Amino acid sequence: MDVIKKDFDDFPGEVYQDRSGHSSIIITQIDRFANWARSNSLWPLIFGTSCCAIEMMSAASAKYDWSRFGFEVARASPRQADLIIVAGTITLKMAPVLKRLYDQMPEPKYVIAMGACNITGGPFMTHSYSVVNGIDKIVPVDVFIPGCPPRPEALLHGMIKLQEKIMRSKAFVIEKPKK
Amino acid sequence: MMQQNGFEQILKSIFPEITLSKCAQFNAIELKPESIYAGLEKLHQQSDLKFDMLVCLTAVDRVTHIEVLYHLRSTFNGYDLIVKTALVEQPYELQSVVPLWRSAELFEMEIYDMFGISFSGHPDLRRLFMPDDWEGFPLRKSYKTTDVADNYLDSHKLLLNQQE
Repeated sequence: MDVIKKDFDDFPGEVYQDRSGHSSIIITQIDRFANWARSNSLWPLIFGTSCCAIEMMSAASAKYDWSRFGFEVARASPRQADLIIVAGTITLKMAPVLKRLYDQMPEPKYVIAMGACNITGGPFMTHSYSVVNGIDKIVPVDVFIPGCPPRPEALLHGMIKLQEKIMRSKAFVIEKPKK
Repeated sequence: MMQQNGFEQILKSIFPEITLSKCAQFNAIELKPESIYAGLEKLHQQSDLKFDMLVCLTAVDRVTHIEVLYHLRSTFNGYDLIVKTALVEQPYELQSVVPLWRSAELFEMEIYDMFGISFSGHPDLRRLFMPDDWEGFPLRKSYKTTDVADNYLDSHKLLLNQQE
């Protein structure tokens, strides 16, 4: 078949089309293709516990507009989400809830720890009786975003880093957290 | 100033041996724990005063004792007053003022949660903020916070390496 190569900037592979334009051939790796699809359509769970959530809302709204990167389908149910942005302090009372939400999400699933509280406990690190000192003790975290709270640009940067991480992963292997 | 003098006289007529002190911008009096309910009841019912509103009820750990503060306001006469009481001996116990002011219900639950003062006569005294199975009272000065959070996660099997 006489074909010509088509250029698509983002597509991870090669696309050919015959001269009539009716049939196309795609040559790609299944991993790269699946990762490309996944990373460009992450569905975040609506989950915010304090001031970081305000920045997250700002990142979602018109001024910063995270839908430019494919994050706009925010879901209120963990069953329909594959990304949880933990935005805000996680207290000991909230810890079982966070773990349950994470467990209810279908694979593949990703976690972004947004803000100082989620990384180390932040301002509550040393003398608090009620705050989890780092959510990586409870759920496996993919990207940490420092800041108190991080600006929306920082959140977007972290989410783009997550997309890069997904592009490097093995699409059909579920990596269990290391014990 | 006239009003201040009148207020002092009314207080003196109810509590003859009390001294009026200042606590920030408020007048303050101190009562003994065993007579706190009777005193507050007088302040609540006395028609010259009529402290009908309990603005805030809180406690402070002074190491030697725990101080409980009742912030009262009279919406009829425009008076503010703080009533203090000092609890020295454990177990800390006070009579509940829920029959006088309904707003005391949540305040007393919070104080019980944070300082471990049990209020006799409270309709539903249990922990308000901390988990139900929490041990100790976190706002006491003697409470040690070292590793408290980690131990809680550990005992509830929430740590990452404890999950299947």
